[in-house]
Amino acid sequence: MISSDKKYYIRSEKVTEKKVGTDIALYVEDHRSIHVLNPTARFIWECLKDPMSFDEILFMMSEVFDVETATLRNDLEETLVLFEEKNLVETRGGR
Amino acid sequence: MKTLYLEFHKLIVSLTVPDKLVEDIQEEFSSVLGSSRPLVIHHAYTVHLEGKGLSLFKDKTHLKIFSNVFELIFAFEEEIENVLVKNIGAWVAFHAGCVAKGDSAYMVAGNPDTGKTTTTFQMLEMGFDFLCEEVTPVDPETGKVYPFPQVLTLSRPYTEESFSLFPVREGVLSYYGPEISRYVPGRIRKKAAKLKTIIFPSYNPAFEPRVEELSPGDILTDLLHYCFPPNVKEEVLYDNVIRISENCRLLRIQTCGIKSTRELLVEITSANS
Repeated sequence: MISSDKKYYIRSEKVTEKKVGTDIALYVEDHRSIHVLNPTARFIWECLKDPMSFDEILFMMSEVFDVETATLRNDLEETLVLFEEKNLVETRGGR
Repeated sequence: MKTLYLEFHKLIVSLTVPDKLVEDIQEEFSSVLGSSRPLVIHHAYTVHLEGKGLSLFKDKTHLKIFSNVFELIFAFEEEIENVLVKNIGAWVAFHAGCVAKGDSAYMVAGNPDTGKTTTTFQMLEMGFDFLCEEVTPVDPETGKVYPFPQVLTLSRPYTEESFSLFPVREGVLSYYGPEISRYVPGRIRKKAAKLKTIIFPSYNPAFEPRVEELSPGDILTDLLHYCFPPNVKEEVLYDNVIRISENCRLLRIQTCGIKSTRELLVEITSANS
């Protein structure tokens, strides 16, 4: 489970964003891989232009998606785990 | 011995064969045979009789021995595909079939055994022009598909079932043993055509037949799987495939049989014209 305090996420500088029709795909040069984002992942990706903590992203999601917090929390956890696995984001300690 | 010249876009090869094989080879590659010696030949292939076998050489290097002319032809087709893919530079080579009507090309892409070749076959029998089989080369700058007209290999039970519903009218169907049939299309397009539609067939007897419109984002990952290894950096391939898909109508057709395939193909191609 991702800690809700003091861990900050930000987009990796090694990722190139590509427009695919109305969607966004992320290309990771080191891995020579590309990932198309679903709407939730895209929203989270948009949030990560600046460093953000789990709770800050969760708050942003709750403002936009009319979904129960527990569901949003799960979606966010899963997405951040995937982002980390695919090297799409970097994490930092406190600000 | 006789030398034949096979001319594709971006690839010209010569094939020198013993006289007794000439007829079979000519029949197989009739759509790409050149009439005279071209100025440029990328590779020179030669077939020699060796005992009861046939030895294939590429630029004087021995490749393999085959026990009969059909084994040789199947392997040579695959060899040509591989060489073509290496010769097309920054063009994208999709593992797909392709047909055309008017100035529009329809590419049929998908994983193995999803119905690529059978869908291409049905479209040809519905009166479309033949462009490509197995390899569909696309110039991402222009969005044009260049012809690569190989003979279609289908399962014999499938073509027999199709034949029982719709007699073969637009090409020549031959059988090779109980499992294999080969279809030589009658209407072969020599010029490139603009790729306007990509069809992703999906067959299951339990399906309710339907057409699903897809977005480039829905299909990008799959479409990349259908590309042959590129001659350019992966990122360039990705950009090219994105560009191609953004300029096409992308359709998944779910069918449960030959009749429903034809009905859906009529639906989507009449909507395009």
